[in-house]
Amino acid sequence: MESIISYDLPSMRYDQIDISNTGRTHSVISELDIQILKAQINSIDLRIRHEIISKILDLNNLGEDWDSYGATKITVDAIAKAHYFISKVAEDKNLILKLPSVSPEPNGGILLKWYKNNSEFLVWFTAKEEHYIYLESVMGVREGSKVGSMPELLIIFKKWAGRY
Amino acid sequence: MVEKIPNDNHLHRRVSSVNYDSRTGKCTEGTYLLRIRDNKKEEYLSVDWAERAKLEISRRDPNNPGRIFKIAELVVEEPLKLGLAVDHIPTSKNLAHAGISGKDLFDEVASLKIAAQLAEKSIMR
Repeated sequence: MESIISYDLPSMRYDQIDISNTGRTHSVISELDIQILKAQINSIDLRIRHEIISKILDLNNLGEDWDSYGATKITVDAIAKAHYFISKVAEDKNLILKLPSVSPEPNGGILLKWYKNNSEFLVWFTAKEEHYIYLESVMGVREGSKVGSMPELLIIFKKWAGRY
Repeated sequence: MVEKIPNDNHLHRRVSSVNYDSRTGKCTEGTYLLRIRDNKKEEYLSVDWAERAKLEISRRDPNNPGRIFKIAELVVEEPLKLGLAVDHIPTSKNLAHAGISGKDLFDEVASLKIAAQLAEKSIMR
């Protein structure tokens, strides 16, 4: 039978001590351990967030004709929208922020693409228009639509992130 | 002379390093989206007919040959399967020039879906 014991030690308070049915202690988790783990997770989230935002901001350095076919510069609007989207996703404590592919599109917009298991979520932040285009792909089948607002896009993204 | 490009031939399109995803080894969707020029979308995606072109020339920006790009290679059949057309459009400077066209390329959602499918089917050279 497994049991959980809570007690205080003079030097450190232990919240959980699991004892296996052989009577041998096999794991000890202290409050300090939990705080350290939480801090590590937060620092990973922060690092990923900075990395994504840095990649988005780097697109501002692309000049005209960056693709040799006449692509235009990435617009400030597209950068601001992608930046805002990442900030909102990072604020959501129910989501684990993963590193997307960040790439430009030739009309001044930005594409972010996440991979998870056998699915993908691609979002297109257009250069100027106040709408977003997304595509979900499951096992190679792609479905997508145009959405008119950032809150609506966030809901769709969260559903995808929670599903896969 | 304009020729019919066989379905099993290949098309080459330049890919900027920012449109290359090193995690997947593929080009990203931006490679296959039409550009807007003078408030009007391009009529087709410019490509080179690989069997009639030299890879080392296709890699170079025609307006600035010092700029060298990666190349995405597609079998002609792939855009055809998506309902697009592939035409040989030779120019005085590039006899291997060709174009991928179709009305779906003018719709944002449909064009993104097509771009994703073409990027997935492309092999990087």
